Amino acid sequence: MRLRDLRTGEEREVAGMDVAPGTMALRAGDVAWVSHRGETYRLSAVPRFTSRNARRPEDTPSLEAPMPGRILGVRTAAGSAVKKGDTLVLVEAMKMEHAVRAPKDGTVARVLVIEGQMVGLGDVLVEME
Amino acid sequence: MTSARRLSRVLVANRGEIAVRVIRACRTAGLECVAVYSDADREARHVALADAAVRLGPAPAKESYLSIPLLISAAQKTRCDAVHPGYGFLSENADFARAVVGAGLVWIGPPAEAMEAMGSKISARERMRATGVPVVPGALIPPETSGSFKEISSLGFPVVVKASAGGGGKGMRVVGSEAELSSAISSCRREALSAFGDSTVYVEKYLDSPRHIEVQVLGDMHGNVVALGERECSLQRRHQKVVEECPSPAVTPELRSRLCQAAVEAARAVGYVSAGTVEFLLEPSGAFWFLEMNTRLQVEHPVTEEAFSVDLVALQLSIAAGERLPELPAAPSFHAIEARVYAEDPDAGFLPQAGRLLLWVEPSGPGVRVDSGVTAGQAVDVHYDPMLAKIVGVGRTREEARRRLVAALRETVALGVTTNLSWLGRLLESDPVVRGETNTGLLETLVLPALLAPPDEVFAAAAAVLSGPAAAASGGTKSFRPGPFDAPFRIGSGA
Repeated sequence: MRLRDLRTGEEREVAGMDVAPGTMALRAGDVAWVSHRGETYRLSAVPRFTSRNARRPEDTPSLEAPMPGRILGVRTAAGSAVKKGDTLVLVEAMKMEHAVRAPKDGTVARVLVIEGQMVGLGDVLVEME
Repeated sequence: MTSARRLSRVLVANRGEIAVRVIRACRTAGLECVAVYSDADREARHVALADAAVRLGPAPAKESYLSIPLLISAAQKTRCDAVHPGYGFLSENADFARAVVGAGLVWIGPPAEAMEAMGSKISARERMRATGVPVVPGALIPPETSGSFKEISSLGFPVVVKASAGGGGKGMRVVGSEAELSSAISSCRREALSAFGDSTVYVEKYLDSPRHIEVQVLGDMHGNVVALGERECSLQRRHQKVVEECPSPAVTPELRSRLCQAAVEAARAVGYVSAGTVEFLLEPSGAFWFLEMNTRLQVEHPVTEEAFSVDLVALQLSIAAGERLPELPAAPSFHAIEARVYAEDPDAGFLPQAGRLLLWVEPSGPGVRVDSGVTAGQAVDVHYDPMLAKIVGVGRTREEARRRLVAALRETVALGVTTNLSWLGRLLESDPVVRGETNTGLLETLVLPALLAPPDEVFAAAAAVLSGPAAAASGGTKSFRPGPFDAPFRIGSGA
């Protein structure tokens, strides 16, 4: 099984499966949570084969909600030309405001949210061409 | 103003760790207490600990913890005779204080007039200037910001845009040039309106690398006001405090007495009663400036309690009952450092995290205090503040307190929701923090040691649980509802 440490991105092929003394581990969905010697780790399995349809972030720059929350405002529309760093959507959660910005110069293909809407972590907000 | 009134049952108008803290003080004072909760908090710790609990409404704070009519009716329905607001939510809302008193209940906090005088940061600055307490140079921003920013520019950049009704750094923006001013003002207004229902903002000169020092004050109904030393709260990220301590390593006994005197004058100027905090910015030269007064109990009150061996919430209860302030220590006998454990991901821009806390183990031992409002199995919801707990290390020296805190943070286990525990540990081991050389800008520049890749045992443990039976579909808040031990869970046995 090939595993990835979600904090550092370190990947390793793992042969042994053993929860050593002094270590606590549990699984939630696809993520293993491990507490070991005072540190907490999150790991997940790396799929063997990437399916043809699997999304590669560089190719399809869809912008996802960085956290669950409410859409405070939409600052763009489908067809708009945007510059890298432009604020496209404002998300509010836990009384804090976060700007979702354009990762590159380009054109907005679709806007999938409206102001006031609640979104979950990773929900796609905007797709760029 | 001297009417003594026996209290018997207190409505705790808050949630999370502060509701738990107030319930504990009520128990110590022999008072009954009633908790309130939203639909998101049915399983919360404060609900279980109180003598009774009243449902307020759905999860959004506006329909539950921020609803004055719902809270007053909860107090009346359960025959409470007093209300403690905690911090945040309605704790600095003078209308709530008036509604409580108007309903014939005792408000465990300062008079509404004192809250108003200090609640508008703009009027507080003017009041302090008149009293002779030094204030940071600043300017007002008219409601229509289309005009020029001449007065603001004359302060010299950078400046800080702040919400007049604000607190906890909400809405605050540091602005480096006139060009950024307009957008900073509008986003500050938006955040202020959302968090406090008031979009009035103002501007202050930005001081370079000051320390944030605040003084704990207490006033009774008989005109006595005392100061209980200072707290050092310079370690802030995005103007949110993350680590606080008492006493401050930068404050000499001579400076302490001047700070305390200024704080007492500030509190007296508004007829302050109950616990409050006067915040100052301290420059390396030793000059200090009034920042604002928080007319409530502070999140970081435990460090003062531990350093001075007092119970501030118990004192609030006795002050509200009309009792005189007791003799209080003039100087701290211990050192205490607090770290705030947040559900946030330091490796992903400190974004708030939600989900189910599958495992939660609190530290203990000599010189370790934990104020938490969570239990294993509980959902951490996006509707509220992401703070899970406060962990305090106490010692005879600063170094002893710091080491106890570092050990306590490593002892704490939080699985299922990402927290800042590891980041806090590395912060408390960093050179400037070890030496006590902090300022409010430190966390923007401080580089902490990088995370190490997990050791082999961690990969093996992860493989063991990932190859086991699948847990419910996701770790999110949507459909995942098993208790902590329903999920595949293993403690190493060597087997």
